[in-house]
Amino acid sequence: MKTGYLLGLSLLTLGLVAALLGLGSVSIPSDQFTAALQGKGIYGRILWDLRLPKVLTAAGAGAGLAVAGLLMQTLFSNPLAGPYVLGINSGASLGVALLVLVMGSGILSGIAGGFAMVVAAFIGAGLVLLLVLALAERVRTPVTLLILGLMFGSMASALVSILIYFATPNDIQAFILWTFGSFRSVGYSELSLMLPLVAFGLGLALFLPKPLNALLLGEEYAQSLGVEVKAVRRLLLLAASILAGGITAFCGPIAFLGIAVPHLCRFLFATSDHRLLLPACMLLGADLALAAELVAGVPGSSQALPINAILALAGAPVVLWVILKGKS
Amino acid sequence: MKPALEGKNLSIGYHNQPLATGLSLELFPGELVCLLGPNGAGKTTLLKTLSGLIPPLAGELSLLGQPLASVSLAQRAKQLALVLTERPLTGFLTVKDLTALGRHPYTGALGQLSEHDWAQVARALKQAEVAELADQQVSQLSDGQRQRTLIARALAQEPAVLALDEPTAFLDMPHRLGLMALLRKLASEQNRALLLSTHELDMALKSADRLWLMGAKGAFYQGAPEDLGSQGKLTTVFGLNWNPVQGAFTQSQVQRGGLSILAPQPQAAWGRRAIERAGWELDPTARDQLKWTESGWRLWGQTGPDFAWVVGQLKAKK
Repeated sequence: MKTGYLLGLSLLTLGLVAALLGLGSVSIPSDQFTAALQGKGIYGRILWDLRLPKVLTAAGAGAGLAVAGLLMQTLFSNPLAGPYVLGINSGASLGVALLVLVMGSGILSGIAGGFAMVVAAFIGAGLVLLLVLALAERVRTPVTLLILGLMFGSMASALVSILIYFATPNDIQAFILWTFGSFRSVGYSELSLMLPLVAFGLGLALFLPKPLNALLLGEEYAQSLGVEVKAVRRLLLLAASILAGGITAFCGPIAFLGIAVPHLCRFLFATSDHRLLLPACMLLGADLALAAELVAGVPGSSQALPINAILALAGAPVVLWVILKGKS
Repeated sequence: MKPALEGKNLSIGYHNQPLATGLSLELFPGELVCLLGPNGAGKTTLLKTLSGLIPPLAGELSLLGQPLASVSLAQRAKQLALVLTERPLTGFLTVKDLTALGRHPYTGALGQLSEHDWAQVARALKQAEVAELADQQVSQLSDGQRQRTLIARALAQEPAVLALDEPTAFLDMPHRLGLMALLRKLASEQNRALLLSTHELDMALKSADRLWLMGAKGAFYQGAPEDLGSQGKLTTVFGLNWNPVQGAFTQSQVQRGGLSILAPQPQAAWGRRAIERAGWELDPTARDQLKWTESGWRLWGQTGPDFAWVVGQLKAKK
């Protein structure tokens, strides 16, 4: 029955991918669709160069953030943990803020502009990641690490607000737009960097269901079961930070997925077994991101709503419903 | 007989600040040892040191004759299992799932349980007397059932040594007695070495084969409960008065005087508790007497407000 759910989630993924490829601000005439699939003509370019990268980005980001959230919730034995508890998103925000607010949003015009933002976010996230990994060797319990992450986040947010205070309205708007999150600013050149990062993080996580299950009872029990706790902690932090950092750099900070999807999966599958939760989080994370992109794109119109707003507005009631229903 | 767990000249503590030094101790297969001491004496630290969760500051520690430091974590997990005080968040884990976690040291890279592993899980569930709860979620269990489930998980590791930190802490008295009976059975029938820490003196005296006694400032004694008791070590460590007549520890200092009791059992025993709680002494020759009649307790001899307070509710039936 539980594997049946996994199959259902996979079918949903396929359906959403098909919907996102087929629907958009431009509708592809049905008689042109075969030609478009072969990459011919203007519709071929829309399908392969605009819609497919968007789909790949959304699916990769959704799966990656959901798994990163799961890893952190288990490592910290804390249901409120998510991919961003280590302050990685704040590092990325600071990087982008420094670029946009100090150099001016003019830097974003032109072909190199988008890539500069990615590089800035990536450097910011990477620095926080290195700091966290270095400190993880020295702290005794994960809770300390959690507090350190919070402190990094607060400091980075403080610097960002100072930058905003002195910035021009245009620059501020460019920065705020980045914080809304988007799966659309990623083309193939960015994907060629983002997808390997996501694949690395997900691949690493897929090797860890056994120690993750042992960690359910806390680090001491895990160690008494023969788990090399420090090594596992290092691997979990590495996987989660690469996923969170890589995705945030390209798509902006998308917090909701990472916190909500692991909970949804636990309640849907009524399990704490990571052998099931890991694939479930990947599929449901991808599904939710794809669905949000479908709604945000408002098929048939040229408008695009912010992804973060859609996810939280539509997602939070779903999470509440599932959890309340699960309790009764 | 060779000890299952042996420490020589151990120093224990955190951050190079020793809580106790020069500890030499042995734990033998088939025995139940209670590690006893007041709060803060370092029982948990000793337990965690012996089970390898924290390194000893000095001294030698061996598990089944091998130096503990030279035994890999995975190998250790097959020889020694732990039940800790913390109550872990168990999410959606069922009793069976949680017990199956104990097979961790025996399973392959992905943690898939073989038929043999499931058989061991079933055996552990039965031994810990939770087999009928197998499919229930741990989060919905009572404290007693949860504790037995954690013991089942430890048994699934097939350990030669089982160490438990305050296993009776959250339990009411009937469950405490039941759990101790279970632990005694695990030690004697399966020849495992059981070590459990507790601060419940009475229970430890009644159920332990031997005691390890930890006092403040690193004092450490080991021996049979009766020996340690008659040597006065228990009274030293706990700072209590030993009442040799009652064969129990008392805290009351002031003796108000003697009082005799004339009553059948069990009323006589309960009446005695009431007067002793208030600082009176049972003295069969005393003129003042507490007497059980058909209409309840009656007082003979001395009366007055003081006495009324002493026996509280008993007096109401006068």
